[in-house]
Amino acid sequence: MIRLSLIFFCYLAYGNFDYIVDYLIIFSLINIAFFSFLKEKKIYLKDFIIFILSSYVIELFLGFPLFISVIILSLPLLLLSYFINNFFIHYSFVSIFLFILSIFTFYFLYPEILLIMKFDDYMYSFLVLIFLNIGLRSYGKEQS
Amino acid sequence: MINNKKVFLAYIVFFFIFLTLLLFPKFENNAKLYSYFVKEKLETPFAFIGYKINTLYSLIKSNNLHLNKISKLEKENKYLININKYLLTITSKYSDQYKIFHENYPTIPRSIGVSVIGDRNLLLNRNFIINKGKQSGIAIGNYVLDGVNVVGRIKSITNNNAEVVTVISNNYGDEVVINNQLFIVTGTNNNYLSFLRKKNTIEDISFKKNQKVMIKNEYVDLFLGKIDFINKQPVVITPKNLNLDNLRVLIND
Repeated sequence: MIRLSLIFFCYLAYGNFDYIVDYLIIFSLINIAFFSFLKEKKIYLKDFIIFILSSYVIELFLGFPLFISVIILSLPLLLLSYFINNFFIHYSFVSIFLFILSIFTFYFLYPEILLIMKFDDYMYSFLVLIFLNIGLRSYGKEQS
Repeated sequence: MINNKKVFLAYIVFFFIFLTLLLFPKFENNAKLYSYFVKEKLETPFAFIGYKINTLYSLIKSNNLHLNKISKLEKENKYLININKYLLTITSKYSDQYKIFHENYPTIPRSIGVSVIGDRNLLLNRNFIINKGKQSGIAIGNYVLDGVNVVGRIKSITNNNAEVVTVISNNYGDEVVINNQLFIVTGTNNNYLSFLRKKNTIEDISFKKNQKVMIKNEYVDLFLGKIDFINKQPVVITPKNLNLDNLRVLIND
């Protein structure tokens, strides 16, 4: 529900604020998508729907063909999920991994952001990293 | 790897949806347009609230700014008033000096124009009547000028008229200044004025021909005539014919 409301909020907020906020919105949506897909070994329909919704909103805002990420990204993400969730990796590392993966994906989807963003603007994105960690601790794979 | 049938089914469904949208771009465009339309409709109340909050925030901010500005200006005003008082105190002596040097303007005597309405030809007693009187500010003893020379003095007045005794009338007498010395002259019914003197005392005073004879007035010195000699006696010669066309009465306020 938190992710759904966050997606809804991002859907409404995009384009109404500064470019840094827009960057954060897209970045958060990418993180939500990856988090939903990779948080557990088993993928539930609810998580899959959230993944579709967040990727749909990203495609809508960045002008990509709709549902392309669902079809194309799902397969490598499945492999990644298998890699992450079958080994014992600490939450912190998983969250950092997801964070870096999201940054790479974002640059791949929206390369102009490299020119637009200043170094200080990246500081806000560490908020996402914190929430990723909290999310994984609350809803991620149980660790012994 | 997809260990959930529902997820797999969903994947298949979205795969076909993706294919359809890819093959028919019009549907994809419509989907995007509807998405943006819904976004716009949904964000309207938020935008309104946001606008209101923004307006309120900017109002509060500008209000604070203005209050700060006002308090600064008040302080500045107080400071300037104090400075002004101090400067006024310092410069008061200079302003007094300024008043002495610059505000002590020479007083220009006031005069009014009159015209002759009676006895213009000076037939009876060398007096004439003018059309202004007490109401115009004329008083007994005021000088009547033709612009340059003294023509006469006011002898008697009514509210609207006055009688002028001319300088050539034997009823005229005045104190004159010649070479900073005072003399008394009197009219003779001719075109000259004679000096009043004790017997055999005029020899002590030496006059020169064409010396100016002036009448000391409060503001200006008036020209009466020039010194001349008749039978070796000094007299004050006045113009033969008095110009009565453009007369002015000098008023002593």
